[in-house]
Amino acid sequence: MKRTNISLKQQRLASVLSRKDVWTGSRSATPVTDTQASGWDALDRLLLGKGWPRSELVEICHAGTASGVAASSLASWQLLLPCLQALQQQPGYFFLLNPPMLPYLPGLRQQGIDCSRLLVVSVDRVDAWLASWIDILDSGSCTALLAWQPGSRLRYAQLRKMQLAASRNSSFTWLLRDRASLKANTPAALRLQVQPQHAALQVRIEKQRGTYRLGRADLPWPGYLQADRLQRLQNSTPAGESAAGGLLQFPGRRP
Amino acid sequence: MIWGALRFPCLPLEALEIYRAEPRACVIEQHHRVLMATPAAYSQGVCDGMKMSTASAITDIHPCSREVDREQQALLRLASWAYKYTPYIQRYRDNCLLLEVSRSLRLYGGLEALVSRLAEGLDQMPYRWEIGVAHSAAGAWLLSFDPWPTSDQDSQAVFLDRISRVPLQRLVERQGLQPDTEEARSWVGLHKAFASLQKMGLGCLGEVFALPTASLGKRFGEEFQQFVQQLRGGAGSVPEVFQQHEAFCRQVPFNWPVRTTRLLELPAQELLQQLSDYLVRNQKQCQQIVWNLYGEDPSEANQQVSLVIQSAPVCQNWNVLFELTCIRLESLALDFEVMMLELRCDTSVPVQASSLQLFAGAVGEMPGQVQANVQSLVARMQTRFGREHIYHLQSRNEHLPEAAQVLSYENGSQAVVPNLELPRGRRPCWLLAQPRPLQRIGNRLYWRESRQNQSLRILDGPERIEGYWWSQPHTRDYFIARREDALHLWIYRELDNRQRWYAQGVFG
Repeated sequence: MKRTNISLKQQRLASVLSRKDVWTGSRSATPVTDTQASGWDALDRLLLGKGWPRSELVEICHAGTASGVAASSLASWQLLLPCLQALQQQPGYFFLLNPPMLPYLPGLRQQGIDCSRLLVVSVDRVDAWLASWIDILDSGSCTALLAWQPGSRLRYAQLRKMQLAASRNSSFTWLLRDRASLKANTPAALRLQVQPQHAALQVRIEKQRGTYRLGRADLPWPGYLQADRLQRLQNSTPAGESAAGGLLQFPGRRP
Repeated sequence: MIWGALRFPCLPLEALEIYRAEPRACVIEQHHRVLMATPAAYSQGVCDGMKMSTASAITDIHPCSREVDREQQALLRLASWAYKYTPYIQRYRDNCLLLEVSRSLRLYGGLEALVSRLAEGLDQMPYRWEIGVAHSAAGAWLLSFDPWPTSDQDSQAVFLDRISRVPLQRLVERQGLQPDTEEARSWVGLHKAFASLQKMGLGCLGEVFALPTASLGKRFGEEFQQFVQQLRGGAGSVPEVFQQHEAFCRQVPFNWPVRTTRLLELPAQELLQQLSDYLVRNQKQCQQIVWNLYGEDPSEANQQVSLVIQSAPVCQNWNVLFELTCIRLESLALDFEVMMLELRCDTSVPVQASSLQLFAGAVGEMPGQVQANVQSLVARMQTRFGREHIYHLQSRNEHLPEAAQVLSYENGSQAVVPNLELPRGRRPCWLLAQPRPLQRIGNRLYWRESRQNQSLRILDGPERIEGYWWSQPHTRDYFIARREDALHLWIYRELDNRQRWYAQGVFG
């Protein structure tokens, strides 16, 4: 009788431990297999499952403030671009929730993003923003959701709702937040900090469910944003129209 | 041809929602005379054609003016309903619909089955009705006064025999037609002709048919001759195809005042089901409906509310519209008691049915279900937050960057992005809503924000972009620049007299 009780308890414990959202320290209860390569080898090496996890909330914290012009949050765009390009092969829509600027169609097309499948949702109120997050993921039409946090700070309970919505669907979700959010706890499966540097985009893993392993990856800017172009520009530009010492020399009016 | 005549003898009363069980002595008035009355009024001595003053003297009546428009609306609704049995429907007299059903017999399993189906459907409605079947339109109408049991074996000879037995008295009786109409004037002539024949000693139509047609024409006129020929089925007119009324409009009046929007959901559901039936029957789809909520006195502005619901094209999946309606009703604060709910759909277009693929589509191809889901999602969000909060991008063939795209708020199928040629120079993925002026101090450019200056360093450029040379010319040199915090910007210098610098986009 006593043995039966013990085995029953073990079964129950096993069923609890098999849940994806139970933290088991350094041992990952369920291996992360459903991922999409980030397109950055240095980053993939640090991520469990060698890529962005599907059906999980991923937080990306950037420098800058939550208010004002949140242009600095767009530094993460280069981080996500290779993955978004790869996801074009999958059916479904791409949603941008509350982006700080207007997506620009010619630029997106140059990057291979199919704009006929891109929808932009712009809402200010936190409750509407959260309802949109859940509604988009539950609609069954979303391949990837990229969301910028609303004006006011998100509470843990709200983040938990977002994580639950992400986990019951098969979309890729990224939440872009300001660096101050790093101080607060998060139920997200993965939390990164992004710091743009002149040579590369520096990405630090702040939290990764299933491992204590953290790390840092430096992702080089694409060729057209690298500073060595400046040197080429200086060499090819006629005298008087060059950018001396990296500072601006105004090119003259061309005929 | 086989014609079925659906005659609604009490339509003037029923159009005013006065039905058989009405306990009051209601009287429909036309030209100061009684046109029709409820059984309660008849039982107290009121009769058709009586002067209104006399009727008032006899008993305490409730007079109502005849409303021809409402009768016509009711007939239109009935014609829409009958459209599922045959497309050949035409109005006859003031209260009758003629259905040419010969082409529908095989589908419905014969004349008897079809008539019984029609009867079943009509029994569900609040109208009193009579049905007549014959080989001619006028004959069917005439037989609706003395209905015969219908059989699949009924032939033209049988119908003609039945019509021949109709007493002339039936054609002499008043028909309650709306006066001053072409139809009424024509009927006056026929009425006189049949009255003359009756005086001559003829008793039924068969005796009229026995007379030489040419002589009848000479004696009573061309019109009478044609009518007799129509009755006999000699001059069969080509049946008209019923043109469905474009607008859908239905109301649900409440017997009690409704104060909470929750109570409106059930009638709204019923109305949407009717709309869906209408759309399916007519192979149409709609994208916009309007709910009108009327209070006790709809003429006052604060006693009515209109709610416009927009969605992706809807035909039979009325649940989408119901969901959107509920979202709107949730946020509606009623400041009057609703006495009537109205659903209008003024524009509908032919349904655009698409074929489903038998085999899996190509990689990246959008399955139909995903499209339907996203349309439903967008409609819900647009209803909840407003149309302007959800958009997609559409490209335009323009040189100036800010004019090269438009925001589209249409919730249709997959957005169509014209396959325009890609620009040669690099374009950012993000654009500022308005170009942001940059500060130039000496030979440096600065991005000024919150009293802090961040200097810019140019990485690439220039790329000359010109536009609108014919009206307000713009010439700009574009550069890629890096801000101090390593944010990459797309900046330009306006090549005008002021030579000002602006930031317009962000690469990341």
